[in-house]
Amino acid sequence: MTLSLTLVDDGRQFPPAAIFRGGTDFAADLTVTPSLHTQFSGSTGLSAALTLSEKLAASFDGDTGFSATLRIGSEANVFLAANFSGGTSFTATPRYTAGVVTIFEGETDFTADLTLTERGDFGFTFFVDILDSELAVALAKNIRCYSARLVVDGQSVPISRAEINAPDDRLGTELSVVLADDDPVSLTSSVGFDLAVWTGSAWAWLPLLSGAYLSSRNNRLANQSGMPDDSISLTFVDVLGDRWNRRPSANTILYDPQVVDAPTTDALSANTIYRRDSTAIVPVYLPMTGMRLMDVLHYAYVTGCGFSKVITNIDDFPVEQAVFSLTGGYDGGVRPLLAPYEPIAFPVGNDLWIVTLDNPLPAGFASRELPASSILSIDDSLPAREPVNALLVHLKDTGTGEFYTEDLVAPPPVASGTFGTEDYTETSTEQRVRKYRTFDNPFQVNRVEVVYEKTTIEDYQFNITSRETRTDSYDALNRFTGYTRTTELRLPDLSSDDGSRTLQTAEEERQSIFWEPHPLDPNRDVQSRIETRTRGLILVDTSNEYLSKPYKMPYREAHKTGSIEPGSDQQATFGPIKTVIETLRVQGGQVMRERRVQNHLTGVPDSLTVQALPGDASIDRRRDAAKTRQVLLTTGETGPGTERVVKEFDGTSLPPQIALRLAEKRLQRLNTPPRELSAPLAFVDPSLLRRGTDLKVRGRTGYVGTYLVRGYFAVFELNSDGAFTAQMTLNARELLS
Amino acid sequence: MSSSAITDTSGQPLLYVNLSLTELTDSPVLVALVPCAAGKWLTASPAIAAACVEARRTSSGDLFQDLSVAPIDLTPWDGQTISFDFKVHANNVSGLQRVALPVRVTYNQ
Repeated sequence: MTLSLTLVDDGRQFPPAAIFRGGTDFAADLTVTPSLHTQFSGSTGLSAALTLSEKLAASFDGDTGFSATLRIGSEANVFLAANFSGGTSFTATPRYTAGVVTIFEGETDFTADLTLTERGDFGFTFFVDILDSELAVALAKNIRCYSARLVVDGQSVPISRAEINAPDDRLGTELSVVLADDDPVSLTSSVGFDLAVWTGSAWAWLPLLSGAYLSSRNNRLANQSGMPDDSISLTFVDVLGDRWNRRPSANTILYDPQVVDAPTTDALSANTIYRRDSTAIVPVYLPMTGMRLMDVLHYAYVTGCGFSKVITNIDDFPVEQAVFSLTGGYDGGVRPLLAPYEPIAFPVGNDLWIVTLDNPLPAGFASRELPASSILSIDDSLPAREPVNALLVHLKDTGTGEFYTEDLVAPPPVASGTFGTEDYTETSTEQRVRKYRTFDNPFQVNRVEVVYEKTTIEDYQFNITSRETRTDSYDALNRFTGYTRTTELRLPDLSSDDGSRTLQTAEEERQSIFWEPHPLDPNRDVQSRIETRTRGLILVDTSNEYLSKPYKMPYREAHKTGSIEPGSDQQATFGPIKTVIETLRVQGGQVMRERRVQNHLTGVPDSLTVQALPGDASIDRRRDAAKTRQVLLTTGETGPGTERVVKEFDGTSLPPQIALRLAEKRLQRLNTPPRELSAPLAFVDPSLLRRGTDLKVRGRTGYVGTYLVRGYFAVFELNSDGAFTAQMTLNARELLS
Repeated sequence: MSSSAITDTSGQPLLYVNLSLTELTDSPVLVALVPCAAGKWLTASPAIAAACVEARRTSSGDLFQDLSVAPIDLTPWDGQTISFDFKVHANNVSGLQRVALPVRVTYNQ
């Protein structure tokens, strides 16, 4: 910590030297989810101006600044948005010694509450296959020369045939080979497979598989035309494919303690497994407050299976419980949560991507073309349709009997005043609303809440005079946890000579609501504190001093009172204006509310009020997770012949609103399923040997469609001339929006 | 809190884009809309030798800049959604190289 003091001589013969001796305590309250590792790095600075009065009573006026960066784990370049709120108190007792030095002894305490806000970083990824020039030319030719080799512990092993298979429904790749010579492969051998393309001057070797190990062996002894025709066939599985088979050391249950009760002793003993020596494998229960899908995916695939991270476009919905068993493994615990989305999974380096197949191409961007000359044949098939007009959806009952759906609405603009005159304004609103319904009558909206609203007001000259954006936030238990509101106003711009008006961010308000268990009933929650912090534009007038400092006032108030003077010594800064802190305390059958308003410009509280509010403003956050409800979705068809057997959709692992959305899409897909494509190619193109690639396939008279590669199969075989022939087949699914 | 995303020109959030390039060539230009906020940067780190992501503000007339070396400060357009042009430049490689280039809006430069 650095401390600098400036002594102001008031005429007495005080020595200029000042020594500060003391300690600095830093205490911070940090709420961290289990998947975060945090470290603070930062500094504090304190600057103070000391005015010594006649009786050695000293007062310090200064500011303390604190800056810190919050980093996730050891990842570089990943920061969180964090709010530090707190205060500093500094006390020091001046002690004047005999004419030599002035010594201050004291302490500084700094306390801060950290609120982690949304991480705030987002983006997308380019997957790029880059070919060197010679290889690109070779792959563009119609006559190609291939070679292939099996590499066992770094040594090349001759083969006569190889098949490499990446199935649709599995993560890794399988390799099957027929050896041309002795079998040097052991169970611990590290195996790789390389493909080579002749570029005209040299072989370009491309590794297709590495780090695989032996899965099975078949030794065949046979005769053909009186001569031995023996062969050894081996299959290998790669490391990535094997990761999906990993399991925890004991049955592990992740659960959200806010929603699900902790396990009882009876439940633990009933689920215990015993070894032959009678030692117990006790199930492990891991509480994870506010658990969401990304937490479960991180536990399964990063902590469990060893990937670096999981990237997905699936909704990050709240999850009450996830079970990872010895028989199902890590992947088995996640599959029920992902199954309704029908995703495709593929590794990129050591990252695991899980994406839904309904991921349309960017507007204005075309897929890579697969020309007809590259294809031996196309099987473009429409899977068996299941023409249904209804789907029975099994939903989780939240216990309140209620669920919601969200819609974006934009009501028509509202005009007031007479068009063309100064009193005319036009107000347009954009809202995101939640419509609450009950399971008993899911098509009846019972209440509506606005969770996002943007209000824009234009004047008679079509200038935007104000724009206010408010976004509400809710936690995993649907408790309201606050809002952020940004207000832009058309205010005079001090940087222009005539103070012409521009749209500027005048205020930013952030409210945070904190909940705690009811003191008398732990199953209910009450609000304990509400903090509303307002920051905004501040007018700083250096030519108008108050108590020897530039006068400050909120910019919008300065505009209202006509205090803004462009071209003068006034400046505009953005900083804290006021903070309203309300503490709520349950007292008998009432709630005591204490409201303090701290004005940061004047440095004194504006007001302090204490109120007694009747009633008990608590909510019951527990719900019965075992109940399910059934909702019938229909296509709206009626009449004879439309009453067909109803299909079912299990949405009990998802929040009801997400389950209903997916069920509606499933009903649509049952009637018009996406097409499947199987295309044997004339050549092996190594850049196509990747799941997730999108391709535009050309047929006889035009494009057949755009497809996403889900799997592939390639065969390499030694012919009688001693050269390899190669062929591959792609399996793909139609890309739909 | 509402979640942000880089979207295409029709408002569809972008997750990934597949490309196949020959070395020392550029990809077609992708136009995307980026929500901007004060203190945030448009980056493409970490830098890799095989390729880089370049970007510029649409219709600005600026040169494309390598986002891994020179991230773009989004502070001047705080609160706005700005259109940017993106493209990938492939450097010298040997054989076939498969890379993933993340484009991020983040607090870190």
